[in-house]
Amino acid sequence: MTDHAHAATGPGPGSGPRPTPGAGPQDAAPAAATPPTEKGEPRAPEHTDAGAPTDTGARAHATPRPSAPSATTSTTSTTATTDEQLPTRFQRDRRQKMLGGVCAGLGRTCDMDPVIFRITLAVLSATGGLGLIFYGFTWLFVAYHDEEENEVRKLLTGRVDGQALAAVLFALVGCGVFLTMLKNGGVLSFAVILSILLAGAGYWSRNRGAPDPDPLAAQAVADAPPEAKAPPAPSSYPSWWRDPIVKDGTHVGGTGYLWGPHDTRDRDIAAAVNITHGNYGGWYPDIREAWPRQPKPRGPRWIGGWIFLLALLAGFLGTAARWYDQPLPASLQTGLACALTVFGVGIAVSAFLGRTGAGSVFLAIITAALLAGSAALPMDVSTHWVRKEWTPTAVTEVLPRYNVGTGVATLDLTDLRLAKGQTVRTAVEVGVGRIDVIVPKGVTVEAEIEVGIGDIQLPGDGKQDVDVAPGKRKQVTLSPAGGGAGTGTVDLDLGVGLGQAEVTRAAS
Amino acid sequence: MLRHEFQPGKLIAGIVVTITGITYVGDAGGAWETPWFAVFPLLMFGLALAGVVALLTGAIRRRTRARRSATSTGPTAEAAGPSRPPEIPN
Repeated sequence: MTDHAHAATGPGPGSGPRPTPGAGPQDAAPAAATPPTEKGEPRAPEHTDAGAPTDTGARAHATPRPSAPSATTSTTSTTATTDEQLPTRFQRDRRQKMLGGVCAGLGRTCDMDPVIFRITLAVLSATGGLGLIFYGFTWLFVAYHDEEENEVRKLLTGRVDGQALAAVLFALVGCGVFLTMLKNGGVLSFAVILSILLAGAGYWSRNRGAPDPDPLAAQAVADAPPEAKAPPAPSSYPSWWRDPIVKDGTHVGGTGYLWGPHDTRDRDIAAAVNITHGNYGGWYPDIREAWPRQPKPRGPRWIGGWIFLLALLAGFLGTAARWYDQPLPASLQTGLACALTVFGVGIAVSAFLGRTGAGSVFLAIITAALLAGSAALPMDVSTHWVRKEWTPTAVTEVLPRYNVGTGVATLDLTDLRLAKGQTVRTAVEVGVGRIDVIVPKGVTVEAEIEVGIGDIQLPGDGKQDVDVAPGKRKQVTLSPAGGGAGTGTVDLDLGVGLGQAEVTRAAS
Repeated sequence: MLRHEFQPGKLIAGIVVTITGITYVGDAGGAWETPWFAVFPLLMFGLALAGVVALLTGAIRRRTRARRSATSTGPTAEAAGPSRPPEIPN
């Protein structure tokens, strides 16, 4: 019996909202306590609480499946073997179920309280419907632990029952809620983060203390009420009755057995000493604690975590060092390149010392991809978001070029009075952000617009008509709204690295 | 307890990643110009090379280990009877 089994007998899954006194036959303590004759009886402890208000358990017994005898015996045999460890496969649990037994099964699989899963799934259902989707589909596709067919299979073979319909309803409602919440990024990211946290908690709880050494199991045996036990094999362990007895009744070569000193360090003798001393409650706890722990064979340690932390630090320092005097892509590139160098050095060092795995290489590849992205960004992106607005009122005031690193550039040419045939030529450049050019009503606009990644909006387009695409380039001539010959021409040259370029016509 | 047997694949992968990082550090520092897509050929070829080297190393080590264990058990068998036919045909 391992720590898991201890937790299960304690406030484990049994302390759910429907506390079943016999927390299930998977707990090893009752299995160990019951004599072996009773072990053949399937689910012996559950029969004791058949009269309890667990209607589900009672119903499960009242309506056994036709193939019940073979199935139950097989499950008991498997439970007897898998009692020691958690179930390897995720199956729904009938005994502690509220609705479909999904949360109970999750709790059993992860060795956690099912209430944790219930609450979290309820929160996830309310925020985005992910919980409902998960619950419904799990209900449909995962079978009970004592059945072989899942609900979908039953449904498709014509055995439609309320369970399957409820599961389908859950999934449908969940999908509906999910679709309504699809635009709400905050809620969705919250749901995703919560699910990741829950999955991580479950994984950790399942794997905590996974490689359990054998002495604990032996200690658990000593915990249980003692059974008649053969003395240790006399061939391998010295016994006091084999020792030559001296005339006065003592014997030569004290082994500490029975009335010797309590600091016996030999494992099997210690167990026997425990029992013969009646040391169940721990009068001499040092006897049991004193078992020699086999030191684990320690290979080279993993250094991937340290490398990752160092790379994080290097990236942060590199970015911070050039944050103020360099544009954003340059500082980002510095930081990412530093982090990549640290990864490289760490992996190279791990060829001799310590171990790194595929995780470090994967992180290095991710960093390299981010590095390429930061290097591909236009270099005029600054780290400060600015809003600039120019409203020239005369042709002479129009500069040949306007520049904004990161932010919104608004060029308002509404008040510009152009003579007939006059041409104004200007250019606006924005690294990341938005260009908004407002042209007067009666002029012809010749625009050459180039957007690295983003969208171009022209006066004819609808406000909602946003089409983000890489490498957009457009050359347009917009005649005045009246259709007649315009008073003049505005020649625009707009360039946006990442964002939106918009040309609008003044209202009046 | 950090030391272990030498792993050439790791070394090559680490060197390639380091070279890539230094290339971009120099670009960011203004020492030289690096095109933004330089990382892809560098990492692809480097990591592929590292993988090939690691596979080769593993294969060679496995083979030498097998041969060594064969030779360590071999002499006794040969001493027992070099020209003896196999006793238990499977």
